[in-house]
Amino acid sequence: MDIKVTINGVKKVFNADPGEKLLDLLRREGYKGAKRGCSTGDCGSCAVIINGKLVNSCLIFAGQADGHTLTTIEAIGTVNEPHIIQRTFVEEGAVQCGFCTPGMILATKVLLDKEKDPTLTQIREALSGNLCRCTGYVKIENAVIRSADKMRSE
Amino acid sequence: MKVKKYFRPRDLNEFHRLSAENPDHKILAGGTYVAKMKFPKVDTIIDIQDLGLKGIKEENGDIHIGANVTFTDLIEAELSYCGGLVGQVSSHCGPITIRNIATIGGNVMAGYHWNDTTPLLLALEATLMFTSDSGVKAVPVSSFIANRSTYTGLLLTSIILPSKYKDTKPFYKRFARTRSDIPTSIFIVLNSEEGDHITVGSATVKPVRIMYSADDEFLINTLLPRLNEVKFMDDLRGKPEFKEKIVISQYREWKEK
Ligand SMILES: Cc1cc2nc3c(=O)[nH]c(=O)nc-3n(C[C@H](O)[C@H](O)[C@H](O)COP(=O)(O)OP(=O)(O)OC[C@H]3O[C@@H](n4cnc5c(N)ncnc54)[C@H](O)[C@@H]3O)c2cc1C
Ligand code: FES
Ligand code: FES
Repeated sequence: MDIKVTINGVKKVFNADPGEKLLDLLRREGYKGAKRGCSTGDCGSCAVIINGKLVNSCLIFAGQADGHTLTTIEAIGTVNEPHIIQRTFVEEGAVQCGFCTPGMILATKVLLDKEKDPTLTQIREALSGNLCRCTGYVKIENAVIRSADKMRSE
Repeated sequence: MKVKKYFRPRDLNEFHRLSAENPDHKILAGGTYVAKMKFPKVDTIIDIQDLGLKGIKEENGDIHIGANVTFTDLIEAELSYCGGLVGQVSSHCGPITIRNIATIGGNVMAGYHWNDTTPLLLALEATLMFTSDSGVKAVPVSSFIANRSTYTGLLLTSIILPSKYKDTKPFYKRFARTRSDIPTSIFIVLNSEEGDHITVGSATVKPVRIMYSADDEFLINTLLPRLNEVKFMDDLRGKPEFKEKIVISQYREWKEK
């Protein structure tokens, strides 16, 4: 079946099996930033943005995405030109193994697009669907606060 | 689940036709339950996102919620109805990544004993609106809970919250192991013209709603016997004795207030 989406600003048509999950489709098509962690909606490593909302692509059938607008981590920044959020995560030591990082960055992006100066409660709420096994979250929270500071003063 | 066909009907007629033509189908709303389950018999998915079941509106004080409304939609709607209880309960229905896509209709129809919405809807005496090719059916949540299997396969289109609780100030307690865990016990008290009624959910096999009577021994003589008759759950989140203790402490907290 055809899945027509606007992904990272580009209109695309993908072919998917009727039972295929969006995560599998994306990875097959080269969007490897979305990771498979749990497949049960618990970890957020497969997170992508659909119509401005953060969702777990492991729990979404490819057919559900048809006609919608998707943003994956690939659109946020590149190795040579990282987004402020990505740079700040590195500077703050908020990245260790990096498996959770694409989901964390996307969750932060959705939050900061809406809230320029989020409270700690808002940050924790925004990251509530993303688990990290390495950092203990303090450095991630600091990275979100510092990203917000930098984006405000830009 | 070996899915061979995936449909997104554009209207109810098309939905009913596809349902009849594909008896081994599964209705798909947000998918946060369907995508996780095995369903060995299911070969067809019918995605209901294009059926227009999305609105939230007020009509003569009643609140009509489309079955495909997500928990995020419910939070963002900031309903003042019943002291904002609907938004408050919705904010607990999983982490943000789940609430952004999981729907109230899917939550009700998934049939978990522990979910957050069934006790809420029972407390509010909500009505579930179902449709099938033979017409529309209005079902009180209490009947739905008592006889869930009767409604399997029907399409839930909307949920109606009655105006009688519009201005009620609720007492709502949710005990969970962590902020984002599923509930271990939900305790809601609402006041109406008939008096206070208590709804307990998650701790018991089914949610239970009981009229309160101002009797010093209400807890011992009425509430606990009724909950024990329905049965406290024995699951990952604790033994029945533990669940009973939580309900007792939630009850005492309400009494102290
Ligand atoms: C990580 C995680 C945490 C969670 N935490 C909580 C929590 O704390 N509290 C809580 O209550 N829930 C929680 N949930 C459960 C979640 O809320 C439900 O999975 C969700 O609400 C189901 O809605 P959905 O739209 O995704 O339904 P789907 O998965 O699409 O469908 C669920 C079921 O309902 C049927 N169905 C859906 N819509 C209709 C309709 N309109 N008419 C008839 N049948 C229909 C489907 O066929 C299916 O059987 C959690 C889930 C996850 C993955
Ligand atoms: S892989 Fe999707 S939430 Fe863990
Ligand atoms: S950095 Fe390893 S899981 Fe988060």
